[in-house]
Amino acid sequence: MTFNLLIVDDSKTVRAVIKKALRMAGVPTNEVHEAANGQEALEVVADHWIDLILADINMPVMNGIEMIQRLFADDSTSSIPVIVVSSEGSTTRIDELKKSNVCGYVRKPFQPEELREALLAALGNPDE
Amino acid sequence: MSDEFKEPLAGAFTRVLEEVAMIFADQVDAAELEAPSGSCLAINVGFGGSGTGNMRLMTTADMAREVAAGALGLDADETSDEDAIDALKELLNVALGQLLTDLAGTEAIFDLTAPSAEVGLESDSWDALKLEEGAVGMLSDEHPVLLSLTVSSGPFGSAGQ
Repeated sequence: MTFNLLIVDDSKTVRAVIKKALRMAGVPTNEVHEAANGQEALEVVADHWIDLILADINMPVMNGIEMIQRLFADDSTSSIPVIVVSSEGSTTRIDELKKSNVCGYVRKPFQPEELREALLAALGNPDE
Repeated sequence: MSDEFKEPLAGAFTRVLEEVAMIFADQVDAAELEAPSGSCLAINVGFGGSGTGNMRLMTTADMAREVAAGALGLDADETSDEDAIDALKELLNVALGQLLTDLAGTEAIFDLTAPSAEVGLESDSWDALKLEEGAVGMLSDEHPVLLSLTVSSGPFGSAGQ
């Protein structure tokens, strides 16, 4: 089983690092889409089947919190799980986000294995 | 800015530099760091929420390329100017996130601004920053780095009041 993922981060470097980490961790992907902010992410989600979103919080145009709220408020996208990948260190904010469709949190900087564990917890282990 | 932030600032930056780019740096006296021979660049990230302030980093374009190369797993000459600035912005963003948690704990909520870059800075900008109270100097191989944290308000102890 392979997954369609969406990486949302305003840093091209981070998007490349996440893609590399996904390969290193052996996460089975089909399509990996990219978006530089929440607005772009919503446009990608409208046009493609996405199994899971990896999203930063602090981004220009539309930040990750607003993007998550909009996804959760829309019946057609509310079930898409989101893993927050951020330098955010506030457990208060992360706990609040987990009341919506946020199912995991990986703090930057991260190791590939941390990303893999969060993904498998969200999607299930395809090897099992 | 206060000397009280120097150690946590240097600690968060070196930790993130190692983890993001696998680059090691040593803390040195900022006042003794000579301005780079060419122009340099600066990255700024502001924060609001439970506290307000700004973190600033100044270094050389070569150091920025080393950071990008380390993060992307490339050689420095394989990276573009765009890669270098983007990687340095992300480095400072992550370092500030770590630093704020170190200083204020995990209950506090901060909103970081999008990092901004200034390029082509001359030695007078370097000299002004290195003489600021609380400025931190770092040296990674031959690459000098200056850091500063300016706090307007926040739960950071007496230095932040």
